[in-house]
Amino acid sequence: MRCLSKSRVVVAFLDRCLQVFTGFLVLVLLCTVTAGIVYRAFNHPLSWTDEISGFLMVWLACLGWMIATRHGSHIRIRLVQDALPSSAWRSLEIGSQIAVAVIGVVVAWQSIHLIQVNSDIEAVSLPVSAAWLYVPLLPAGMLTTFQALADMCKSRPASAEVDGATSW
Amino acid sequence: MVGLMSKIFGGWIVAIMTGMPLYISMALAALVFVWINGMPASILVQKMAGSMNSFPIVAAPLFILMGNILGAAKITDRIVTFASALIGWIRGGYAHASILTSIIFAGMVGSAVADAAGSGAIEIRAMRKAGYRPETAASITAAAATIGPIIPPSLPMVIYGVTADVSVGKLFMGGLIPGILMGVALMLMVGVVARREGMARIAFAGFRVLGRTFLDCFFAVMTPVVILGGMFSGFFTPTEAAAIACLYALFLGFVVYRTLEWKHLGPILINTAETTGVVMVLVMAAGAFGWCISASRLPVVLTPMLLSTISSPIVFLLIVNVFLLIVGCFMEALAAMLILIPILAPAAASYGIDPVQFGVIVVLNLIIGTVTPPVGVVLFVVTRIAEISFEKMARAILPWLIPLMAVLMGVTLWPPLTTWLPQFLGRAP
Repeated sequence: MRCLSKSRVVVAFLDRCLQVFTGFLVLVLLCTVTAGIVYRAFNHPLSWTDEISGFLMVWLACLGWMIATRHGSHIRIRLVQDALPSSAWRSLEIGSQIAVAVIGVVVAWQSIHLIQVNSDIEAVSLPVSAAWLYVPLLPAGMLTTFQALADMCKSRPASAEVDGATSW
Repeated sequence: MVGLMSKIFGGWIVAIMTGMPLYISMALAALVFVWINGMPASILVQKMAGSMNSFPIVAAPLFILMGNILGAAKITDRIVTFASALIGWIRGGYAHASILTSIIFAGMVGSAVADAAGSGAIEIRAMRKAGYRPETAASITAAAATIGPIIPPSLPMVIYGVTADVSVGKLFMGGLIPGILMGVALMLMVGVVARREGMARIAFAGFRVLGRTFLDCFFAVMTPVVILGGMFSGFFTPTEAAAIACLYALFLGFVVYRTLEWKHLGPILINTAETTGVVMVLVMAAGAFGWCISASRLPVVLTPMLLSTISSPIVFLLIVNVFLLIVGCFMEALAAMLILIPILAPAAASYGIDPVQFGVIVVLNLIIGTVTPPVGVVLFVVTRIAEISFEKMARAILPWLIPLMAVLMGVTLWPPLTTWLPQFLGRAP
């Protein structure tokens, strides 16, 4: 019991770290784009802002994907599923979570391959490896898989016709 | 490969209906395609990352951030007060004010849901207090919220522009006139309904009050001017305009209205990150699935088939309208857009249809889909705010689709509505 509550504290701490880091990335992205405008206005255009924005965007999308996975806020149309009796609902849910886990494994596994392949390729205007583009896909894929495995045991939630879509 | 892709497409739709997360259904469809064709799965992950690694898509999280900052700064009340003072004295004044609020709000946030959730509660409460039927108040709010993604800035247009390789700046400009027309059409409809239902009006409070309420929200109303002015003058790109808009929103919240505190900043950034994750993972999966659709040569086979059976661009657009309206009833707008763009955009180009006009038509169709049952995201939001049943709401919204459809027809049949402004200003980045 104590072990379970300790693990919950650790997970909550990791969730918080993920949120703080991702929020910080949003701020960095804003500052990068702004720096591009300001320096150009003063006739000193920066060469690296576009490229670093692209890198940040991949990281932000993947870390945001992880936060949404933890909160269960990805878009799902559950209109049909919610109309089913409990046993059919459970079967569909397990099937969905297996699909989620498979995609998570594929993304994580293939990202390792892409990191290896791109590790000696340097970005155009930044002194970093192009492999950094694929690094965030590894934790995103892993978390997606683990969350799917954990969600398989979850009980039926209150009806929500379209999950997640209300956030955009 | 075309036959295979058609089967995968069918499987994908079934997967969506089973309640699988949309991005997983797209990624799974793409995975099945590459697996059957013996392609390496790494190509999917590469396409997913590649779809994010572009400067124009950076506008999306920045516009989401701007919307969140303005939402936290609680400037909606000021806009509602100004709109009520300006046109509330007309019959059905609260409804007119609600629509005007949505038009102004549309220039600040790029999403129909944000519009409905942001100003919906205040508008519906005011209308109900004035004796409007709850379902009428909710329907007006929902219909007006669809203006949000048509008037720039617009999140769906950023995503359409990036996916279909169309200038986001030109799409923004192309949406301005149809967005305003949607507001006008809805107000005309209110005029008709107001007489029938005997809707109340607000007594004119005088020019002094009008002036005071205008000054009160002046800096907020200037947000679209800052965004569009910078873009139209060619000073910055849509992505840079989004960054400037964020800074302007922070300036409004911290300096002008002083409604923002430092403690708000953390939740704003985290909320932005999560919403970005929800939207962008779909764009990533669609990037992979879209590549599979192109690799299957489905658009290449489909386009000549369409051209041989439909010769008129107008007929093609009308069929696209009917198709997208049906799709919009059953599918979430963003997912539908991401999947259909690789098929429909090349076909539209082969008919010589202006890409800006087609982009606005696609977005408009799918945004109307957000207020049509059974899968209407804006309907769900407004139903909860207004505390009425979904069945009641689904019936009540139907007449309010007429003005929206009328504008859609106008945009379809008369291209200058969408192409004139981008051509006139001409300097869009």
